[in-house]
Order: sequence, then C-alpha cells, then structure tokens
Amino acid sequence: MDGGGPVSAAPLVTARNVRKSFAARGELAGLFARGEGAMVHAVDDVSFEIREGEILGLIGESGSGKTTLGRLLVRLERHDSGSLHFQDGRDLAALGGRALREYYRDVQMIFQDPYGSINPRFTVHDTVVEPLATQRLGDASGRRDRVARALERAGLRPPRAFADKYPHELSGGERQRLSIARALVLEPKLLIADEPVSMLDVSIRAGILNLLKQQSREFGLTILYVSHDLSTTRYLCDRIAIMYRGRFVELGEAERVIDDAHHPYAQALKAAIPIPDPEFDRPRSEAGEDPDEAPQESAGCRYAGTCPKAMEVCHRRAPELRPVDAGHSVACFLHHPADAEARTD
Amino acid sequence: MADAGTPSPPGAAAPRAPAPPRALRGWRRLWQPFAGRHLAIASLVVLAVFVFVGVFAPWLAPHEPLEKHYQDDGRLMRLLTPTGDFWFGTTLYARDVFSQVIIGTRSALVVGVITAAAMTLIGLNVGLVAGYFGGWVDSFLMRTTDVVFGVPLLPFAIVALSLLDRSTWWIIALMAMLFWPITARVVRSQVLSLRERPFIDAARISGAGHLRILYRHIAPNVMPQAFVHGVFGVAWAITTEASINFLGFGDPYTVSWGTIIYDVFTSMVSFKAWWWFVPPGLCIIIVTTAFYFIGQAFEEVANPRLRER
Repeated sequence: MDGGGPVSAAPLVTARNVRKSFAARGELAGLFARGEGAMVHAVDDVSFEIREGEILGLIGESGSGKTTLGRLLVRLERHDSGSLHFQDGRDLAALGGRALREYYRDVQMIFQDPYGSINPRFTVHDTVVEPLATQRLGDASGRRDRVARALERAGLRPPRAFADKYPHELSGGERQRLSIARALVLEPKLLIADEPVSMLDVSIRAGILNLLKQQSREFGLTILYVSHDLSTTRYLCDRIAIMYRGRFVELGEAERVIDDAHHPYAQALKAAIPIPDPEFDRPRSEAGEDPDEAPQESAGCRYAGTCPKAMEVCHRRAPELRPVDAGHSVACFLHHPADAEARTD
Repeated sequence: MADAGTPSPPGAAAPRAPAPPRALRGWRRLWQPFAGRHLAIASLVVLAVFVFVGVFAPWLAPHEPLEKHYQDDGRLMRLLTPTGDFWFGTTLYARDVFSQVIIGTRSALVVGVITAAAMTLIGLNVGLVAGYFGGWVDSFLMRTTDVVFGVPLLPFAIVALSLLDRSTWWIIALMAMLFWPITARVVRSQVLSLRERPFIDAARISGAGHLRILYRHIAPNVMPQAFVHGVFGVAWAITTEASINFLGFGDPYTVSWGTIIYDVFTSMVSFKAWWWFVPPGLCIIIVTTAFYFIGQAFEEVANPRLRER
C-alpha cells in the first residue's frame, strides 16, 4: 500500500477495500433477464491514499473503473463496501444532507465534457456563483469578488469581460477553465479532475494541464487526475496509480512507474505511448488481444487472460498490491513469487 | 457576439468551436421564431388586433351586448342585415352581433390564456418531478397522466358541468385538468435526458439540493417545450370552450363566441341569418389558427429537428 515518498504529509483521503458494482445490462439480455443479472465490478477491492498537496494520476483504459472511483470520492456514486474517509475522519458513507453539502466545500470535481458540464442557460457568472449560492456563503458583493478571483485563478482574464457571457460564446478551452473556476471558487482541498483535457484540442491541453499544476504548486491543491493518457500524466503527476478492470495493478512515484514499469499491463501501456520519431522501430508488444468477454468473476488476476507472462497461479489467485521497492507497489506474482507460493495449495 | 453587449477580451479572438444554436437574449430571443416566417408574422399581427380588441372591448363595443334594440314604432329590430348602425346586423332577440363578438373576444382570450397557464403549471411540475425522481414517483404520476389522457374531454365536461355551477371558471378548471398530460409527457421526456447531463452532476457537487436542481437547472431548459404546448393549449382551450358553450353547457349569462353560435342554433334561423353566426365562427377559426402558427414557429426553434429548410 505504501506508495513511497516522504510520509510527512497526512493522507487527505483514505480508501480501504472499496468496491462498487453495477448491474450489467446487455441489450437483449437486459430485456429478458429477471432479477439478479451479471454484475460489473467497476471498482474491485481498491485501497489507496491521496496525500495532501500531491497530484495523483489515476490511469486506466475505458471501463477500468477510474471514472467510477473519482465519482465515488464526490459521492455521485456510493460505494458498496469498504471504507472511504476524508482527512478529518469524515466517513463518506455516512454523509448526507447538510454534512454532504459542506463536504463539497472541500472536494470538488471537473468533468471530461466541457460542453455538457455547464448549464447552457447560465452565464459565466451564474455558473461560478452557483456553489457560493448553494453553500450560502457571502453576500452579493462578496460573491462577486470571489467569482472574479476564481475566474482570474482559472485564467479567464479579465474576469469582467467573461462574467456575462454564455457558454456557447466560449471555446472548449475557455469552457474547461470555467469549469475549473466553478470548482475552485469554494477553495477546496481536493479536486477530482476526470479526464479534463481528453475532449480538448491538443493545442490547448498544455494550458489546462499547466493551470492544474500551478494550482497544486501555488495553492497546495490536491488533485486526483483521472486519465487514460500516460504521457500527460507523467508531465503532471507526483504519483501514478494504474488501474485495470477495477483493480490497482501498479502504484508509485510517477517517474518510477513510467520508467520502471513492473506490471505487464503497465509495460504494455507504456509501450503504447506514441514516440514522435518516424525512424524509431519499436519492438512489437507482447500483449495479446484484450479479451472483452473474459469472465470478471474468475478468482485470478484480471490481466491473466491477456498477459504474455501469465503463470498457472495467475488464473487461480489474485495478486495483492505490494511494495517492490520504496515508493513503488505492484500487484503481480512475477514480482512477488513468495506470494504465489505461500498461498498455493 | 454582437448581442453580448460585452467587449471581447484581448486574446479571445482565437478560432471558436462551431457555435451551437445561439441562445439570444430578451426581445431578440422572442423574435427569433418569427424571423423569415411570414405565416407566423401574419398570425402575430392578427393576434395583436384581437388582443387590442379584447383589452379595450367595453370601450370598443358600440352597444351593450345584451341590450335589445327597438324601432321607432316600438317593434324589436329582429334579424337586421348588417347596416351602418349594426355592422354585423342584429340577432333574433334584437341584439347587436358586432358588440357581442367584441365582448366575446375578451372572454375567449381570457379563457384561452388562463387555461393554458394552468395547464402549463400543472404539466410542467408533474413532468419535472416524474422525470427527475423516476422510480415509483414516475410510475405513479405517469399512470395518472395516462388515465387523464384517456378521459374524453367533451363528455366529461358536460357531465361535470351539469353537476357543478355553469360558470366559465369551472370550464377553465375542467379544461386545465384534462389538458396538462400533454405538457407533462413532453416535459418528462426532456427531463429524462437532461438529468443525465454532466451539468446536473456539477450542480449536485456544488451542493445544490433537489429543488434547486429541478427549478434552477432543469426547468429553464424545458420551458421552451412547455411554452410551445401552452401556446397550442390556448387554441385548444378557445375551441373547447366554444364547443361547450355551443352545446349549451356554459354560463348562459356570459357572452362568448360559443354562446352566440348556440343562440343562432337554438333559434333555428341558421340558414337565414348568416351575419349572426359567420363573425363568431370566423373569429374562432382565425384566432385558433393564429395560435397554431405561432406555436409551430416556437416549436421549430425549440425542437430544431422539425425545421424543414
């Protein structure tokens, strides 16, 4: 569990054995199925910490559960089992009503879709003032000041030029900045950024990523950066967690996870990063086809069906996330042969 | 951008994403449905005339609508053809048709607008709550909607009115009670898709409760559709009220287009006195058609898929 690094900072979020499943509904099967259908384990027994002040990257392909994990942290979904605690001991499962509303002063989120995540009938000012209004903070002029500061902080300058605009008058990048301003106006401690640049033009991604980095460096904002893109993560994050089919397969400091990937899935991901050199002849990846239909119920490692190095034990037992060295944990029997033997038979 | 009224900041001139249908503000936004639609503009002009007549009806009507007119020799001026004094002629009871039509305009518009407003109010709220909360709330409200939808309007109104007071207010109430399912269904279907939009999640994360999400975030986005059906509702209400009055189940002491035609019919002079029933009949047709065209214009804006060009 130990992701390494200085342990001075207290964890802002502590997750222990968190699980979240959804009822799987195939098109036809869903029509006729009665009662309990198959379950998809979006988040399957995940434990980790988010440390104060860090940017933690959560990497995975679509369907890996990374977005669900982010949504659990802002209680847009409720976890089925395990525990999720905020820094001061608040239990996310127990939050409701007023306590939940106040929790949102500390934890905010920005969304992937800069078009869908802003009410088309709200002006920029309406959008950013909304959290202050729902939290009943400040009077009209105090709110105006805070909105202006948030817009400025998010790079929408000068704020007055934007305040009365409607979302359709903004570009995709400006909308995402608006989304960030809305999240920052309450001055939260933790920001969940769910693929904030994946729907943006490549040319403006760097601006948004720099903005996030700056919020972390200057204001000590803790960020959970959810993405499928390993290359942006390396640039932005202090630590990286790699998720595969609802489980963490590797977790550690960003450079180590990327430069010294241990888990076969992490290696395959890394091998998929495009190299901007037409002369470079990359060795073919060993990873096979992703078996979409592979049963998730199997007791073994989720990656065993695809893994080029799968051993017999991989199909029977699921490896646990364990340190391979300081600040770097991996869930793979290749790197923990003792685990494989100890519990076989 | 010209309507934004704010100067563009420097550096904001970068190429923008293709603009989605523009949400205009204020009067421009209200005018948008009419731009280039001649039928809708003509309907608006016609309607303006009727609204003017309705508002100033008591001052515009040359005679009291129920006043009987006598000739010098004391005989009733029954069934006069249109003249300079009685523009639309007189009724069998020697009353001025023109004055009756003018006073009837006011009641038609009042009945239409109040019914439509009540229908929209009920339908909007039922649709919002059903679509947003889903589950058994949705099932209950939508099954109720289905039941009400199945009630035949005129037979129900006739039975109800023969048990109740024959007042225009009851007619309005009955129509509103039967019209709202249309709005409710349209609104619900919109809410079902709106509630899945990320900006609703964003509102939730800002700490907004259900009421705030429903009425500040979702309702303004379904208002155009509800409004369109409200405009159609005015037309339905005017026709229905006229039908109820024509059948003789309305308030006998009010003057409306429906009661005028009822009088013609019951006095059995329909084939002789064309001036008596043509004016109210035409008014019903013209006003309801105008509302339909206007509603259609709004509908094409609210639902771009209907646009033909």
